[in-house]
Amino acid sequence: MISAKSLCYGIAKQTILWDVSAEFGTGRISVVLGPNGAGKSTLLGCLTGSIAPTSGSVEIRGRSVTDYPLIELAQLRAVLSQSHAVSFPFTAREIVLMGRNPYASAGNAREDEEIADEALHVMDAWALRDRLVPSLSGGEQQRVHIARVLAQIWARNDAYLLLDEPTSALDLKHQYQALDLIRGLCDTENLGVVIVMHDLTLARQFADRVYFLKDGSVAKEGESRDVINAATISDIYGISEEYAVLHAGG
Amino acid sequence: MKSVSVPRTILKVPALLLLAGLLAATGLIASATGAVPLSVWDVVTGNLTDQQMSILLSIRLPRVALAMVVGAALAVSGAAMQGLFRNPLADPGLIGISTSAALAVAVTIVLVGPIGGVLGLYSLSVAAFVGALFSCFVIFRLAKLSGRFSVTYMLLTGIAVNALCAAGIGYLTFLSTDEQIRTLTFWTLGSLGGALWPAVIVVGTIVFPAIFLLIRHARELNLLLLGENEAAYLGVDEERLKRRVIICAALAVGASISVSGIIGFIGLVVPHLIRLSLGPDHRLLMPACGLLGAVLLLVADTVARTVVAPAEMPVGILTSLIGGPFFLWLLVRQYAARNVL
Repeated sequence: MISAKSLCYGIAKQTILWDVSAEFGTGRISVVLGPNGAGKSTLLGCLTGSIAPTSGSVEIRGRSVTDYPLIELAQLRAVLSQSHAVSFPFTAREIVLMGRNPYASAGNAREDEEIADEALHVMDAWALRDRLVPSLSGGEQQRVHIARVLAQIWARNDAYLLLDEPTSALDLKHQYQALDLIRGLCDTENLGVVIVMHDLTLARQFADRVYFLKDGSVAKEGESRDVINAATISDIYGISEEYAVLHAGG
Repeated sequence: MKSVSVPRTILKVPALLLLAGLLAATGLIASATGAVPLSVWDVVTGNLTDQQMSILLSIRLPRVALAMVVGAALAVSGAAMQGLFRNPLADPGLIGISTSAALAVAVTIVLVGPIGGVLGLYSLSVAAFVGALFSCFVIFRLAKLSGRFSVTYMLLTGIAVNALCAAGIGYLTFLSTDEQIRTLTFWTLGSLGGALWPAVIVVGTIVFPAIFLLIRHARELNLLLLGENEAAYLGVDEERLKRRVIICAALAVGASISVSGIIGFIGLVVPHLIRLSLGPDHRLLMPACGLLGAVLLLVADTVARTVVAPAEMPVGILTSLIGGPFFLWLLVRQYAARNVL
């Protein structure tokens, strides 16, 4: 369980997060939705420990995220940021292998390579393994980086995966492929997944629990089918019911 | 789409062995070359007269050793700084190490004046070393004030430090006599002319541990290229890593500058060459840079001390003369191929 307890965060007198409390469990996909600037990425940053909240706390398995040694935390949860521009000419396989860094001291180089290759396979990126990452398209790069975070928590039960807009550059096929895969890992390895995204259709299909963030606070939360409806969408995003219906699904 | 396939892991050991062999061969040839030519074979077998032996041991070898140490220090520090700033154009000069060393030397030459005795012999070296570390200290203090040890702040602080030091040097030049200007100018052009064993030993004891520590952080530097947060997510203490890289690079470059003056482009061009041929993995890049940096500076220094014999050309002129156009060629080539760095 990753629990956020009354998180507040502000910079230069501007409030980004205000009193956000939520519990993200294992074995399910939690999706954070909301308009631009609602504080979604900041919330994710707090959950990862990279942003220190002004007040409130984040606990993973009952222990404050700031108390974990970085390596231990890296074996417990993997994080995919929104942008990941690698300008140096690493190959896709080298990037995915970097995901195995938390286990480097174990010295199982061969096992790490096998896991990296598996991760490339499941993300349909095996054909890209020897390509230089800066020369790949945005969607291809995104698949490689998803493979990297998967390799980081490969075969670790009860781990967490925190993803900031992981499917933003993917085509439809790869969107479904990635989310199906993550859904499967939730079930087989009891993975706890938190995804920040904009795509309401995907959220409706894959989320177990949905959090709508607006102006730094949780405006609405619940089971995805209960919460994602025309009225809520219209209210949260400030669009007319007429448009909102199109995104609310059947 | 074209596929770029590079079987890099296969290259690792042979590449390093090849570079080590190249370094040994260059070292031999450089030891045999000079005002009194020796035969390479005689140098290897030790079949030399007493006079030749004394030239080899007390003039040639310390100079060859110093060129290797300084070349390795500059190239490895350059590679580390480029990794740290995630920018292939970075070099230790970027955070003001060379300029502040030059300012300290200018202060010593112009304001302190000639110093007698043993202290006088090493006064410029000590000044340069202290100056180089001072810029590092300033950057740490300011980074602490800003709360976070961000590379953007370090870069901007470096620009400010560079500008201030350049102004200081300018003012001191304005105050100085012709003789002092000449000394200062020659220092900034770089030369390994003062190579004696004590200098080699002092610089070596600073440079080798620093290079060793930098290479030990190679894996973490790779991860830093994913981004500062990403490195932390993968278990890297990025603040500690950045501090260590800056300190080690400042020590290695500071020690080198203190005996050689400012030698440009080794720190920039060598990592580029290695990255083009062996890829960006710091675990291979940094040791390879150390070897190739040593080779290139040794070749440049050997040319510098023989081409206008009996006079000596400042080696910094030579490295910049070759390095500058080469660097432009690299840039043009990359633009032309619309390639990524």
